[in-house]
Amino acid sequence: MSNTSENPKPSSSSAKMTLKTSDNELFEVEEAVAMKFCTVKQYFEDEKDSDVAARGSTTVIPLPNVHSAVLATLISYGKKLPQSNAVADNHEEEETKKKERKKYEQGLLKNLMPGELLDLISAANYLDFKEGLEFFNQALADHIQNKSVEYVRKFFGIKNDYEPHEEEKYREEYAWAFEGVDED
Amino acid sequence: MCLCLCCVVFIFLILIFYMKMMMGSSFPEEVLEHVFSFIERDRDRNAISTVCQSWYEIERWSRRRVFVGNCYAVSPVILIKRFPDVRCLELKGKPHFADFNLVPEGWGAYVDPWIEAASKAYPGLEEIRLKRMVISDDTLKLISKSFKNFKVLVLSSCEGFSTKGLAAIAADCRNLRELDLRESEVEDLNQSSGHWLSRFPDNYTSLVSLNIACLNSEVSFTALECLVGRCPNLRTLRLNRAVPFDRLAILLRRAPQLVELGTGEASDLRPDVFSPPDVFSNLLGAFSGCKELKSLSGFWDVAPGYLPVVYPICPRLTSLNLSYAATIQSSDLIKLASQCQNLQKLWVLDYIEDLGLEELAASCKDLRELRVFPSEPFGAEPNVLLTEQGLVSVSEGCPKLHSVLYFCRQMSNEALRTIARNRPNMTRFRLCIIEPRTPDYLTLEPLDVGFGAIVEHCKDLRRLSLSGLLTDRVFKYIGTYGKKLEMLSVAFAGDSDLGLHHVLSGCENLRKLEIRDCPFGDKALLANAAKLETMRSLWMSSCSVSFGACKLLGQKMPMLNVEVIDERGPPDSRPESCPVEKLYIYRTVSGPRFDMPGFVWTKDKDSALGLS
Repeated sequence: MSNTSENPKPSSSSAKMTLKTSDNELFEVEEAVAMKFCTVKQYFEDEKDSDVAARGSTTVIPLPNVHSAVLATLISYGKKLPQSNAVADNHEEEETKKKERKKYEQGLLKNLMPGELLDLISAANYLDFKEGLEFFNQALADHIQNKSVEYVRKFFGIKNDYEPHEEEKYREEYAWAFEGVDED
Repeated sequence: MCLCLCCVVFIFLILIFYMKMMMGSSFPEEVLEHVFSFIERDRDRNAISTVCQSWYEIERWSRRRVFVGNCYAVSPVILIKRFPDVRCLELKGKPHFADFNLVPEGWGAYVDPWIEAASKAYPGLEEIRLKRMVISDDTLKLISKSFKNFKVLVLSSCEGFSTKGLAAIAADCRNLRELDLRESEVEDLNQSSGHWLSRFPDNYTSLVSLNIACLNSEVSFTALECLVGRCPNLRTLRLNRAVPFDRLAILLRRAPQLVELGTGEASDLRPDVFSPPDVFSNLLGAFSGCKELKSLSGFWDVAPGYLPVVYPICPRLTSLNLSYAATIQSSDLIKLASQCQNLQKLWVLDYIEDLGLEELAASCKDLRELRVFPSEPFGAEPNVLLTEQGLVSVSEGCPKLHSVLYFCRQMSNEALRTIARNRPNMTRFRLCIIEPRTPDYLTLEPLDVGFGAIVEHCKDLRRLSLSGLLTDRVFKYIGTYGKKLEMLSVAFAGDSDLGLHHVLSGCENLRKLEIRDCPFGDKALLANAAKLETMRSLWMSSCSVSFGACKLLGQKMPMLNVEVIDERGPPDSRPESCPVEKLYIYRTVSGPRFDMPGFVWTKDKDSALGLS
């Protein structure tokens, strides 16, 4: 019996996995959520011997590049996403869940410190958490739009490596040619 | 020992600091690319490209959508060098005053070299949007052959092509989604191979948007009906005058999912004994079936008796363009507009009159954009009861109104002040008092103070068009308050160079300035030469700028192309102090252009032609 996330299972399945973070904290996560982290999924697909229940409850998957605080948020976000193993909802239930997720997303972003967003993205990238990347990268894009170049540099901790006056002016020189003014 | 420990700690802290600094720039490239994919505005993309060198590289490789505001500001070579993988290209050519026939035929704005270059560099190109450019049939054919995934072609106010070029696009662009010919001039070449619409293959079904409203030629209704019927994703259909209004029902029943519709002509359609009685009910039924319809236009020669066929969809309409509906007068316009409670954009003829605008102000609380066009612009006397009062009513009643184009025959400073106070959220304000130099009709004063109020109160004003009797004073106001102004249009205004000087020295964000028939000369232009390099372009026609000043400006400012457009013959055959007919100055990094006609002169012309 193969246990990939494509097999529909009742949402009350006891299949769980344990993830260990860089600061040695252990997180017990439902398999359906953990499988959204493709790195984790890959880890399992590389070891296909034992059956579900035993495997889920005994193996600890190390995540040396992810801190506990970051993983907690990513797991929390993963839980809010539509679960591939859940019983199909009717349209109304789907709409309600969508609204709840939107509200949760807004709350999440509101309480996020700027630096935390970068950490979340780094971790989501390491975990290959596609939905998470989509959401957090969009949030980052929204955050840096309409901001000055200096702000963006500071936010990312980037040093301006253009030669003073020379190269930056040269590159900026063309920017106006590629900017809109008015529809007419 | 203690000192050693301190050193170690110190070095450790430096390392941490360094790592934190480097962390940002070592953010994974594919992640940055993903983040950048959500950033679309040109200004934002230009900003992120200047953060650091690696970001510049990532940004330029990932920019898929490029906008070029002036096709002579850069060259295809420069574009391709900076952005190697572009999917959507938008180019603008002739200056805006070309719309008023002020740019002579043959001036330029040829897109062919751009498409030629793109055909080699961007095989994945999907979208081309052009405005005021000249495009040939051969180039249309090149597009159809070169870009396998070509999806969108928008030709706005373009010319130089015919139905032959359209046939090539129809025949070979298998993935075409959008074909929009808005306001373009298309030559009709009666082809023996059949109407160009029938060149879309039978298995072609991906059309989403078709705008042929500007076509003067006949349209094969059969081909059109077939096309509409087999494209399930068709959302926009703007027909031309060759499509009869009564046959519209057939098309609507084939495409009830339409969101935007432009009707055809209805001149033969009169609800009387000669018209079958079920035409009306047929149309009414067809319109009622279009549950998604949000935008309507066209209405050429529609008899007012047929207007009720669109009543069922009025409450859902957000956009209505009645600027061609010359047969619909005030009372019918009022009846129609008052049912469109969700209207956001209205373009209408001045038949709507003050009364209609008052009704609009009461019914259409979501109105954001209003354009009122003149029905008889060349008539000496007013033919309609449209005055400044109509605009005042709308400014009072429509809290979201921010974009206005208004043609009228009388205005007062008091009205302008009222409008300014009512609508400080105004972003685009274009007032066209038809007769040049018309004063305030109440006080006979210039309208300086009125426009001054507009720029003072509307702090986000980006675009302004002036008219009426205006002195240098209005330009002082504009220079003082118009800090966000990006585009200014001026005609028959001002007293002296001081007017131009106020604008050029005061409006920090000015990008486009177009002037006609004003007493502005050399002084202000030369004194503000540096400002011109921060703008996209300056147009001046029938002003007092001398050829000598143009030569001087061209020599002084190598980053500008200073074009003298003069159909009287070479400017050096006249004294240098002689004012030039037209002047077009624009910023460029691609140097002089080599496609200038005989009546355009720049300082490089002789060398450009290979003459010593």
